[in-house]
Amino acid sequence: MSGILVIAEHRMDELRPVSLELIAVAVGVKAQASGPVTVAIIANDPQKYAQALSVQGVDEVICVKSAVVEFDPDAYEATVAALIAAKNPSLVLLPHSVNSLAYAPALAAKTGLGLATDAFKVEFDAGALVATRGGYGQKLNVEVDFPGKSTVVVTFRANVCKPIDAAGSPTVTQMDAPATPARGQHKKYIEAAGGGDVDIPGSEFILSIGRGVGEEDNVEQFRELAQTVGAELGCSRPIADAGWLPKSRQVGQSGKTAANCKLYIAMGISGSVQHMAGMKHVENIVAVNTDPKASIFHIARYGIVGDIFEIGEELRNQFPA
Amino acid sequence: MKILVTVKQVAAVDDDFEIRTDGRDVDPDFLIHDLNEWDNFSLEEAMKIKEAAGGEVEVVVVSVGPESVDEELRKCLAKGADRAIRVWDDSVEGSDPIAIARIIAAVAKNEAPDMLFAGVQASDHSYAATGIATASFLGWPHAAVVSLLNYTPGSKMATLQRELEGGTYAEVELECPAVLTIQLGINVPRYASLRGIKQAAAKPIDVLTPSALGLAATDVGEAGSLSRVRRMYVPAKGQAELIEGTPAEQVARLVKIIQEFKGV
Amino acid sequence: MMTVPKDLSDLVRHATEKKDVYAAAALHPWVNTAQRRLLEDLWGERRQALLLAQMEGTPATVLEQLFALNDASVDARLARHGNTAPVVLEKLFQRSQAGAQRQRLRRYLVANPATPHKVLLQWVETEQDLDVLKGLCANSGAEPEVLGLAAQRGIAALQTLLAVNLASNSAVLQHLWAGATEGIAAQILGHPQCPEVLLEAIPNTVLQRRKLAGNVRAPSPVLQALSTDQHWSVRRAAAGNAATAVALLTALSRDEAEAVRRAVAMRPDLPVTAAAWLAQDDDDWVRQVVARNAITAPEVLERLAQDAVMEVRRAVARNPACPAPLVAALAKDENEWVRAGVAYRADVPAQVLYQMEAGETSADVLSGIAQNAAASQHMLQRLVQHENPDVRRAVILNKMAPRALLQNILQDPYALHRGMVLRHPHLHDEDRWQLHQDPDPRVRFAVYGYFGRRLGMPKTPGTII
Ligand SMILES: Cc1cc2nc3c(=O)[nH]c(=O)nc-3n(C[C@H](O)[C@H](O)[C@H](O)COP(=O)(O)OP(=O)(O)OC[C@H]3O[C@@H](n4cnc5c(N)ncnc54)[C@H](O)[C@@H]3O)c2cc1C
Repeated sequence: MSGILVIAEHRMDELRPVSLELIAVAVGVKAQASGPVTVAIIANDPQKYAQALSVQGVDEVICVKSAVVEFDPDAYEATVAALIAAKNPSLVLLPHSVNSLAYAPALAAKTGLGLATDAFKVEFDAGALVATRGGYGQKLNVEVDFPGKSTVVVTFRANVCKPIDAAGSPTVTQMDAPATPARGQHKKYIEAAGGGDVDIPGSEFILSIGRGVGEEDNVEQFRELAQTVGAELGCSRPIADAGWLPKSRQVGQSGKTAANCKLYIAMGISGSVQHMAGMKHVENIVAVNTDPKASIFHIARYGIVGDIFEIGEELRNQFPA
Repeated sequence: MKILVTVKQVAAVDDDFEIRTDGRDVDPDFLIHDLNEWDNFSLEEAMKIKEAAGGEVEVVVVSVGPESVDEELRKCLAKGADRAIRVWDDSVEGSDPIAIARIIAAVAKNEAPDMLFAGVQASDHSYAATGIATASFLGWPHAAVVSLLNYTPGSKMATLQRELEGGTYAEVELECPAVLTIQLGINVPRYASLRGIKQAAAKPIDVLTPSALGLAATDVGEAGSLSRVRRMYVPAKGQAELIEGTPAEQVARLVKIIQEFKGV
Repeated sequence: MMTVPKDLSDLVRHATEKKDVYAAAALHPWVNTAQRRLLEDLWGERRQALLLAQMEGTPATVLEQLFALNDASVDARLARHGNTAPVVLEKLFQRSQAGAQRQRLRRYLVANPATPHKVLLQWVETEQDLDVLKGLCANSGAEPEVLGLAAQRGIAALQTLLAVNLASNSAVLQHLWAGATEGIAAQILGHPQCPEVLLEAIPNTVLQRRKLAGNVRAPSPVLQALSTDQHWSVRRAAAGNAATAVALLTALSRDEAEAVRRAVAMRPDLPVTAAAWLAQDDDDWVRQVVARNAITAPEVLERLAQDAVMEVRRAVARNPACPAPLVAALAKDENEWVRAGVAYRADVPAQVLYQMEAGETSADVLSGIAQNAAASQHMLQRLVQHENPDVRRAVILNKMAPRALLQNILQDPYALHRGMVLRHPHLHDEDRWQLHQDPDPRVRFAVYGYFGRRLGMPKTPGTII
């Protein structure tokens, strides 16, 4: 068993950027894995992705021609199993994506391979693979090993590793995916309905206010601020309960989930469990609170211990028009 | 007609917790337990199907865990699940999601439900593996991260939407019985009524052991697992990076963060 | 019907029979030493002690008892808890002298505003840990004397924190001024305790002028000069400064920068003519702000109530001086958020509310009606059974809601609602006691806290939680 197999991902005719990040992860531990880095792309027309996947450090790109046009968990499971049988890698890297989640655990369970999901680090310790992932709501790092497993499947988190820019010259080979009976059928893609006046679930950038605003008259300046910085305005429940903002802006357990949010600025919000239920998954949370003990700081990526009025006015003044 | 819903008692830590002396987990005194958030949604989805079918459907919740898990099962019973199954004995200790899935699959084989719902993941360790591994042990069709479901009990097909990254959804048709992992937001979970809570006290919780389900000692615990926790530790840098300086300096940084997000 | 406990020992008996840790914690402050012992037995396990030391609202007496356990992890939680008594914090400091926990405990103690002055004094001059010092310099409860000592240590990383800390007095700030960076100097100029002499000159940088323009203690000639500053942000700060003379506002209301006009439109002392002018502004934020300003004349509001921008109409609906006919007209606005603005007004006539409720489906509007003291019992009767929990909760927030309706809430599936309704003055103690076995621990904590206080302080009946 040696080498690393990377399964690239594509959707709607585009390679998903995480594929190149995984290649960088693989190349990073290639020396320890003492074997080649093989990248496989499973598609109806796999060739068109071959060039993009040919980056420095990759030894082989396998274009796996599959009869199935869109993702199907059974087809992918069977195909990756066939690739593993052919290549005998010690590590199989998959993106920790919604599609991988639909077949990676099944693949590992069926063939008895090692499995770690949502890892953000892999390394070899004295020849044995160790994956690091988050535990207890990401508050701890958890090192996982795989006693007795010569092949380990790892689904690896996106946005952890920088892709490699330099091109390489791997051999490009072809393979046919094994046929699988269809138990499911992809019908179509649907894009989340945008528009509507207030769209907390669809918004990528939310600026939320909580009871720290004090009174209704103060809400206005934050509405204006949100518009100035181009964010959707959200709020905690007490603000919606008071009728200061519509219920459609409330984030949390009994409100909306900031499902597509990438940047969430929480101003004057303490970080109750119920509020966090709607936003704690957001990757970039900035918390502004006068109380350094506020729970919101535990889940924030960036914290500002300060007064929301001062910070808000400062932001208003500094934000480039 | 029967729907099996898998649930988990999750654990959270507050600040200032201690790690167990073997370094492989948190000292249990510091853990706060609750029902996994996702499971409220999968139970609700089952309840909606039951109610739409006019009560012909039995909803059974199943969990793997020690006696303390009964508390979460009672919550599910209070919301209207008909009965509960809990599997445990000491051999289960040290099981990873795959070993848990093997146990659940054994329960499912006995129960022969028409559908099996699991949460996409659990809020404590976010494995996102148990449901789909269960499908594998059962040999059933499966779909992960389901955000919309159209299913009439007894029908051979279900239509559903899977929530992909970046606000895209995929519509899929799937043969049944199937295992679906249910995503947050698929419905609005109900709260248990006080009456429901009282009635739940009288509903049965069957307690089974792996061996009673026909599982061997090597099927569960560390022997039946595909991974093992070697060490847990608190990351050197806490999550939040405190932005220091005067408000003007702090905001200068904040502006950078916003612009980075906007790709300026 | 359950009988309400008649005295504290009755309550203690209930809590101990049920082995209810939350009930016990809530009762603890109100009972005698012997009774306390009984209650303390209920949290004998370490996990419960840890839980109480972390839980919001745990009474000070319970925290003091937890201190006696001498458990390092419990101590760390006590050092951060908002209810830990100053004497206990002092003892924690003494404990921190020796243990391995020293640094962690101290970092928490310095940041706790309740940590006594004398404790902070003891170590500010000698502490070596920068994080501990930072926590101290950011502590808004610290005495100026302590902050002064910290300033004198001349550690660069502390100066910013001291300049930002509102507890710093002018002596501290004067000391900082000597070696201040541009940014720190600006912060000092904006500080409410800024030394008088520093406020008299016009600084060179935009940031410093902006900070000075926002300081209510800035002398009026300085503010006058800053109100015509080249940079809009300085003018905006002057426009928002309550000390800026009314005479300057008219000019500011014609400022070329929207940001300045928006700030001036908010002023409660805005001349009526300036308000009328701003009401025609092209910028709808300016119009929104004037529409909300109580000094704006009724005829101007009438025009703003026709504005094409919904938020401007909403602002009129939220204006405390909005004339009754206009309120009635806005009650029929096509936009629900404007109608909600009316529904939340304390002065909407019952008749108008009645018409609003008919056929209304928006949860925002219905919630406004439900919490409105003018809502009729008849309407509340319907709303308390509404399927939307937000609407039901609004009934709890209605001070006029009668007991019979509130009793419905005692069965509400939302624990939050049961916990909230407990505080309503129209409920009777029999009603409240019904929740003493509530499945939700926070609700039980509230129930026992209420009855503990009720029976522990018999002299002030009628006080609610
Ligand atoms: C069943 C249930 C469901 C719930 N659902 C939700 C929900 O969906 N969404 C939700 O939000 N809540 C929900 N809640 C309510 C929740 O428990 C909290 O009460 C609420 O989130 C608190 O809101 P907050 O953070 O704005 O207020 P607080 O907790 O009062 O926090 C205000 C914060 O502002 C800070 N602050 C004050 N002044 C300033 C200042 N000038 N500058 C900077 N900071 C300042 C304070 O330090 C404090 O941390 C729910 C509760 C229950 C029981």
